[in-house]
Amino acid sequence: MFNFITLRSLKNRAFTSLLCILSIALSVMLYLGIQRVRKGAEDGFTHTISQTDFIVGAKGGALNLLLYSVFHLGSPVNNVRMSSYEEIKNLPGVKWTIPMSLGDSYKGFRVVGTDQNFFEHYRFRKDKKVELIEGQIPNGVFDVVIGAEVAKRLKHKVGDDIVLTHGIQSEGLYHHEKTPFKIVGILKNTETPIDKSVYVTLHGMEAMHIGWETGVPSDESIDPNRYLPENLEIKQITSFMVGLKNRIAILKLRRFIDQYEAEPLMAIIPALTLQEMWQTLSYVEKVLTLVGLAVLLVGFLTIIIALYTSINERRKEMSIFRSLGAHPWQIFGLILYESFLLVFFGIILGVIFLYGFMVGLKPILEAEFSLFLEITALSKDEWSFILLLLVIAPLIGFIPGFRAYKNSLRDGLS
Amino acid sequence: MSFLKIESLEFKYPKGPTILSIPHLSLEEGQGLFLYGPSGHGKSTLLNLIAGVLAVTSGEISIGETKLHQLSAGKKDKWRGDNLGYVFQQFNLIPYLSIFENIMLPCQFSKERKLKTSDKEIHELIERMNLSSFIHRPVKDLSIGQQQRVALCRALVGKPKLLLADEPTSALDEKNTTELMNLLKEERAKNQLTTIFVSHDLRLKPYFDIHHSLVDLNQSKLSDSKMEAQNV
Repeated sequence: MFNFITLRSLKNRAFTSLLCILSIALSVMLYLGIQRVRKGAEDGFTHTISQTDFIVGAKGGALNLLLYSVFHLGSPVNNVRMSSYEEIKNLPGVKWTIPMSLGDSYKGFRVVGTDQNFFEHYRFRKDKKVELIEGQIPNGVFDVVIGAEVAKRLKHKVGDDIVLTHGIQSEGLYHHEKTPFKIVGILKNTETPIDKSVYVTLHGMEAMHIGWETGVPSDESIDPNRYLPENLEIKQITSFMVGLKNRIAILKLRRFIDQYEAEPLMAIIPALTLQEMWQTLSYVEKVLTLVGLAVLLVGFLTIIIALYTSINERRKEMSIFRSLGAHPWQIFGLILYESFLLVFFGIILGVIFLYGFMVGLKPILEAEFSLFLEITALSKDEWSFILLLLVIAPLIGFIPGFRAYKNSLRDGLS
Repeated sequence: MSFLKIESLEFKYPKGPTILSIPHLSLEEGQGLFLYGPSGHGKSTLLNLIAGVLAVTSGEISIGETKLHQLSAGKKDKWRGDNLGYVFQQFNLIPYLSIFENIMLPCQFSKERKLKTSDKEIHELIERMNLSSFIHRPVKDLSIGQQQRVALCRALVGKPKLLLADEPTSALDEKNTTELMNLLKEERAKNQLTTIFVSHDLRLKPYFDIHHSLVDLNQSKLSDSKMEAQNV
């Protein structure tokens, strides 16, 4: 009986019903969408670097070390001696290390001096490796590999010669004009800061700074022999990443590094620091969730208003139902069922919207915001949210329902 | 043994004065009662009491085997759905249902009435009411005369034991009134249908066996305005 009447009644007020359904659909889509974007942003952020147990750099702020080593933001206060790096690299528990030497740029993109370990051991988004779409990894002193974003923006190809800039200001004053580099490879898109970086060898980093001891280029010509790898002595790096053979050694090794005697060093666990950093951004999350809930509230209010205003127009209708044997509680139930159905259809439409938008916006989110949204089935949390809405749904019919109940008691058959 | 029997009936709203007081009223099965008189003499109160929407303050109402004054509100609702046909003054139809859906509505509310009737009987009824040509049309396509015929048709679906009609012709012109009254007369004769028909149109008196003026019937002498005030 309820289905027979309610469906036709809602159809009769198609426009208002549709608006109610739409407002619920939009709020459901927005709420679930916000949660997914939030999750995607968090995952994307915390998965910028994976499988690295430590990042080691000069003593200073943990956040700063993470920012300049992983996100290539800001700059280090001090460097790490090559001898320290060598010692830690050869400790028994260490499986691999990735040295990094920072401080130069190329047209606003950061230059990173590293070695083949970076291509072999660096992981992001759990287990993704850095890969080339073209060419090979840098081997020679003046070889350079560029990130996907750099290649795309500057329209560079393998074989192009480029001149790097001293310092990290986007408009650096001095360029390493005497030491042009040749692009030997282009990296595959990773949607991490890697895309906006340029990779050279540690030797290359050393070589381009020959004659720059005073901080500015000298006018003297440099003996080309000095550029040969065997003649290049690497004295320091900026920081390095460490992978351990066994995670159990983490605490012990961390203590060793933090108390390192030769120079003040510190070790951070990137997963932890990333998490801490994300926590500092959690107010954004809360605001977004609050916005989603507010929109939902507006959706519910729309239904209450729509049903409530319809109650007066439908007094005669309720009277007819009464004459046919409907109990006032059935009239009440009828309104509750209407609000339930509106929310129910709203949720279905909202979920359809959600997936529609995810499919539609996926490429844009990935390209513009480096945001990865996996199109997955509804999660357990999302199902509980929907279930909660379905429980609340008939409750929002209470106010108009009670009004209809009282009306039908008072009106009787008239 | 009377089919409908009212004995020392009194009705008042809590803390209000007595609105309706009927010492005695009875009807045999199949009889038609014509109630007339100006509005405001407890007409709608009486109909609501007989329909089991209101509960008597004191006294008895028995219809057939059922002692209505002893039933709970919920039981009275069920009894009404199963046994009563009701025709309002106007706006009898649910606007968003088709004519046919409106006619079949009693069967949505009462299983008993659904079981008591068959598709064949319903289509014959629709045929007799001259409604077959537009049963699947929306309500708004009908004239008021046609709407009242649909209302009568709905009230008769599933063979109710009692028909209550609350001034069903007051919005109709003479031609439509005559048509509706003749249809009602035929259906009543066919089914031995006990009927209470309220109207202020005294020309309709001859269609019924018993005639009462509400002014005489109701011993409570409240003025119209007082009655209205009690009803709000």
